[in-house]
Amino acid sequence: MITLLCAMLAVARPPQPPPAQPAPRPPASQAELRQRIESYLGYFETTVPEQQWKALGPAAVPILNDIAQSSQLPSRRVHALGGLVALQGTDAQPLLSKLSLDEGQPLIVRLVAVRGLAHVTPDSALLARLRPVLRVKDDRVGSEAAEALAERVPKAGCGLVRTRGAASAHFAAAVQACAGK
Amino acid sequence: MSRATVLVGLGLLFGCSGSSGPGTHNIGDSCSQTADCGLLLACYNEASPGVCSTGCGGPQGCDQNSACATIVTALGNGLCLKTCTQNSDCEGGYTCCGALGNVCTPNARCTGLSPVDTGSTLACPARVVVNGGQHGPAAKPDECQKPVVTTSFPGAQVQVLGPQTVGTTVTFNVPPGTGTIGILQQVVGASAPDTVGLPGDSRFPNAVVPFVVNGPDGGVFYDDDAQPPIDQLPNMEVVTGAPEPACAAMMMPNTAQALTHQDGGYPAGTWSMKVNDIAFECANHDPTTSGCDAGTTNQQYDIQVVTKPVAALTGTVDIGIYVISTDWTAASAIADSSGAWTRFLDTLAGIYAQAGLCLGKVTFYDPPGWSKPVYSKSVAVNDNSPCGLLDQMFTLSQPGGELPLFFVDAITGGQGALGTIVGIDGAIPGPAGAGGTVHSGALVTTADLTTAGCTRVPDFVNCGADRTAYVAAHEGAHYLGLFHTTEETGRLFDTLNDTPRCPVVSCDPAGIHAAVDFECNNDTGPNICGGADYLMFWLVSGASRGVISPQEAQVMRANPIVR
Repeated sequence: MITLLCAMLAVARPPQPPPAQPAPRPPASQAELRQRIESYLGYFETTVPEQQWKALGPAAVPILNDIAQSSQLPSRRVHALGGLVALQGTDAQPLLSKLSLDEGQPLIVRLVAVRGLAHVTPDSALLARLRPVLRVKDDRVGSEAAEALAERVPKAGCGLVRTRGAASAHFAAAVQACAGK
Repeated sequence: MSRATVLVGLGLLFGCSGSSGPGTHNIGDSCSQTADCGLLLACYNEASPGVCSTGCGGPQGCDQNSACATIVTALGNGLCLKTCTQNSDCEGGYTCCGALGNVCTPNARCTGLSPVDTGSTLACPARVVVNGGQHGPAAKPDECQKPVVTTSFPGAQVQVLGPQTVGTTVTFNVPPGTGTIGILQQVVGASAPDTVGLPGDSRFPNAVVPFVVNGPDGGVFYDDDAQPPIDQLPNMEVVTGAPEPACAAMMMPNTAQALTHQDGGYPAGTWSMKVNDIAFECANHDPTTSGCDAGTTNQQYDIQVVTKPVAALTGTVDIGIYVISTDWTAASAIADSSGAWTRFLDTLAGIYAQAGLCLGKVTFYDPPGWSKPVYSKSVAVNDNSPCGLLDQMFTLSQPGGELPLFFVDAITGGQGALGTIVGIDGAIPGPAGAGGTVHSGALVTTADLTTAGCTRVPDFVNCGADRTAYVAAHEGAHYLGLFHTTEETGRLFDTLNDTPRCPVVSCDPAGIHAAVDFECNNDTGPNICGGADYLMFWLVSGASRGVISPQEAQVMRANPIVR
């Protein structure tokens, strides 16, 4: 709603297309890189656009890795995970898999790790990559994987989703998405 | 109203006998009343003896031998206090407080986990926290809920005009001394479409909004066809927010121009408005909706008008907290031994104290059990349909004049979005006093709600409870009617004229194409790029101080749920 507000503050009218923007420029210095990362960690009503993360370049990766794994605030950690997904793509997979399966992690970190994992994984490999997540004890995490399978690879994944989700209300959305598929 | 007027009013809460002292005592010197202190200083008497001080923060610095300590009071986010190197530099009852930057602070302010201001300088009554129990339907409704709710305020404040077909002009009475006029429009049944079609198969929310609102002499207070330039928004009588189908509230005042009516009130007498939505404008070939589909003409909206006398300089807001987190219940949040929820409420109170608002009764609710697996982690921020998860979740809020804050485990950014969302409003403004509508709430995650990283002062970057309170205060302020000082794009600003702006065209040397904190942290000089320290800035950062301007405070206090 806030995003729409930007375009619609004055009167409730159909939106005009936003002007085309060039890609953000890369940081001019290490100090600016850190400033920009800190700013991005403070987004709270919107997510950071992928092109903004990508514009930071590879120098951001070690900083984001550190934040994603050690910050005390889960919201900062998951923003950093978002940055790693944008910057590293499939190279972020080991970290995302580890976090999504780690029962000691905060729920939000695991959820965003599962989403990130689905984001960087092609359909052809999705079932294999998410199958272990589907089986985790925490239904809230498992259902996140189920929803990705139901949406992206229903033919291959819905059998597993129905079996896993039969006894848990958390899987209702995924099971419903599989209905008739 | 000027900043000076606010400070004079609130100065009384500092035990002052006047707006500033004619005495000779300097900052940090002891005092018993403001008359003891020098020009423009007040007697800050939280400890005994009091000390002469003044507010600081943003562009407002401190004199020599004093420094700005982060103590939230009615004077702002900071207080100028005497600098020190050891306790003997300070008066009795004061500590040389390293945590606040080596300044002499009352002992109580430099010990314990939670020295966050609780609004005590506003003479707030002790906060009451209660368990409101479980409410809501026993099972998940099969169909989309769009209830018509009757506003919960004393009878004289509410005029129920009932179901009205679009195109109808209705009248309502505005009593003398009215400072707030709220118009609530709720769709009756399924009579209106949620969207209207646009060229190219796209759909646009069928915003419900009066076509025109006229005062008793026919003067125009709102014209939906007027499309003022962005820089003229503060000069409008009222500005609407995002397009809201099914249910929408219009609240006056929410602009700088509207606040000029706060001295004597809006013109008293018979006002009128024409019931309208975008689908009706389409049907009528309104030029501002050119290209839309055929439109509809038979839809009905229930119309209620709420009026409120000109607001005082202080007020109280009750909070409803809806716990849809799988990690918490109402009972466990109230009994929380970690102190996270207490710190959350303390910090929320401290932020709102700047607007002259006390937190009144805080009621924790347990929505029905079925709602947790449905809403606790799956609400997507970009789903603004009345039948989407976000709006349907808000129908679980209870009737009454509370500020409804919903807490869930996670909020998603929608398809393909990376990272997370921490908070989002239901509408700007929310439907005051009408719990249970599709827009009756603001949403925050519990993800950061711990005391990890919390030190002695409000810390919106590292302290999870403080950060959560900051986001809740921000979303709650949207509900009360405030817009962002500067939007993310840096191309759109709020509707007031005492908040700093940060236009991206002149403030984005880093080339990010967004107005971010380090680019928007300079409220002085010829090229102002400010606002990052404001509560209503669009992101939270090390620059965040939770500042609320006098006009913002006025808009908040004018909301009917503030008593």
